[in-house]
Amino acid sequence: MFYYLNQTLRDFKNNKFLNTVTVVTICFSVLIISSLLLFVENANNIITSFKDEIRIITYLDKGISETKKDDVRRKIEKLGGVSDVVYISSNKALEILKTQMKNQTYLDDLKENLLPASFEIYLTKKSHNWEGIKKLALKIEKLSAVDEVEYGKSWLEKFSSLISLFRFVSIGMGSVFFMVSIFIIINTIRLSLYSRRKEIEIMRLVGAEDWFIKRPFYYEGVFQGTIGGIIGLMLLFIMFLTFNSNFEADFSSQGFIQINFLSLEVLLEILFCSVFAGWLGCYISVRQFLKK
Amino acid sequence: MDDKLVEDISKDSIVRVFHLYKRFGGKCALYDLSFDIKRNEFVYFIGPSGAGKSTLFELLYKKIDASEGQILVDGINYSRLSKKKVPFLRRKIGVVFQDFKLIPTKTVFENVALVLEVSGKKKSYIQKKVRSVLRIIGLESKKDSYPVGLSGGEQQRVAVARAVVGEPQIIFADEPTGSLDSESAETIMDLLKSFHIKGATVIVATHDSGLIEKTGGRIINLKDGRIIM
Ligand SMILES: Nc1ncnc2c1ncn2[C@@H]1O[C@H](COP(=O)(O)OP(=O)(O)O)[C@@H](O)[C@H]1O
Ligand SMILES: [Mg+2]
Repeated sequence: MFYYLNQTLRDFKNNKFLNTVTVVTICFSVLIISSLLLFVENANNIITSFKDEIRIITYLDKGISETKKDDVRRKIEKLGGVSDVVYISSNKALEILKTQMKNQTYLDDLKENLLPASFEIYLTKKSHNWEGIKKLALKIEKLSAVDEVEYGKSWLEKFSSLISLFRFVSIGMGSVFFMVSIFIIINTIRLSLYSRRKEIEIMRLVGAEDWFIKRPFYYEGVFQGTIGGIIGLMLLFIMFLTFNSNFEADFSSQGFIQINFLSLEVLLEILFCSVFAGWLGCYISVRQFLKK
Repeated sequence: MDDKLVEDISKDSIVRVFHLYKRFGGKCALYDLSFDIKRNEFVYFIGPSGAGKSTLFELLYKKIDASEGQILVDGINYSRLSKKKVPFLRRKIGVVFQDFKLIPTKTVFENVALVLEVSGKKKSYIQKKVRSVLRIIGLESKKDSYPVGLSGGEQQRVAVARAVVGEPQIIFADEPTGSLDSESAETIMDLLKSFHIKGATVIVATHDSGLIEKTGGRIINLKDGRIIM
């Protein structure tokens, strides 16, 4: 095991420039792909945390009767996708408003409570999509005794579709960089094979089978993929730490948003991909070379 | 030629060649060679440079293929040997190449060890065996040198060490004393003889007929690609 690692390192040194170029390319690709992933994952997290708070607020007509109110509630509950309906009386609404605005004493001076009573309608997980919410809101709006419906946050909708687009783009870019890496590995290994063609010929003449000849090149490719992947992910982590410490000072301390690094699983997947790229690049060029 | 018949005749033959031709383009390098080498023979191919000795050897370890004719080594018919089996054939054969063919990025030790690594020998065995061959050949102190740092004679000795380290049944030596002074040449020839005594078949190509006087053995004369009786 150590012998082969040693041998691979020696081959690496013999062809320092090419190998460095390859490792840097892989490293760069991994860095780009993984930072895109990091962005998409975090953006998704933020959206989901917002989505958890999605609800439709239904303001009721003023002075609505108790029976009418129960009737509306029943009708709403019958609509699909509703998980919970909470009644907020106008007094309760005022209380909530007061606690939200502790220091504004002018609320105490109000003679009359102008706030309408409302239902807060929570949705089932399944119906957390914009089309569904819109349709539901429209249906509720049509009920009698309903004054106004609010579900707002349309920016969230835009942001959400932007993220989908972004995810799509990053998958595309990821595949492009993956292929570029493989292409570069194919070429380094090919050059490496070419520069060692005499050695390969000699090995054959003393009775080496193909696998024996191939082996060091596979080590080379896999080594390049591994090292490139590890360095790329390490750079990502360093960038993440730098970014996060700045970001935290601005936002996170206020408890708004928290940015997470990629999970171990995703990290391993990325590393696996770069090792696989090394292997595949080698497989292609070795096959081509030994056919001759 | 009937295969069965060939088997019967060649019970104690290790190399059989029938009507062998080799052409490079229009030029005929070997012309209608037929000969038979018995197991444990010591044979010289003698002829001036350009006679076709190296070409004949290249055919015999299947580096190149014949234009016409048949080659059988240890009962294996080359024209029917699949590409996959060529490495196993070559492990029965040790070759001292005229141009040595040492790997410049490997040390003397590694160059010699390669033959054993290729056939999957144990590391401890390789260590012991390579050291002992290098000792016999007088290159133990140079085991960690690279070929470029060696004289022509030393490189030739490494080439011989590599040819014999796998204890092959047949040894082809193409001008094995070509760049040696007479004393080193004698060491090499003694070494080849010792392998002959141990049971190997040794086939030497040389333009130096003086070499034979000291060792003895069968002589096949080659000139312009033909055997001369
Ligand atoms: N690959 C080749 N292409 C063309 N001609 C060749 C090739 N190899 C050998 N020859 C020719 O075959 C003849 C025999 O060469 P060689 O076998 O090297 O002779 P020797 O080893 O006896 O000196 C020479 O005339 C040489 O030019
Ligand atoms: Mg020659």
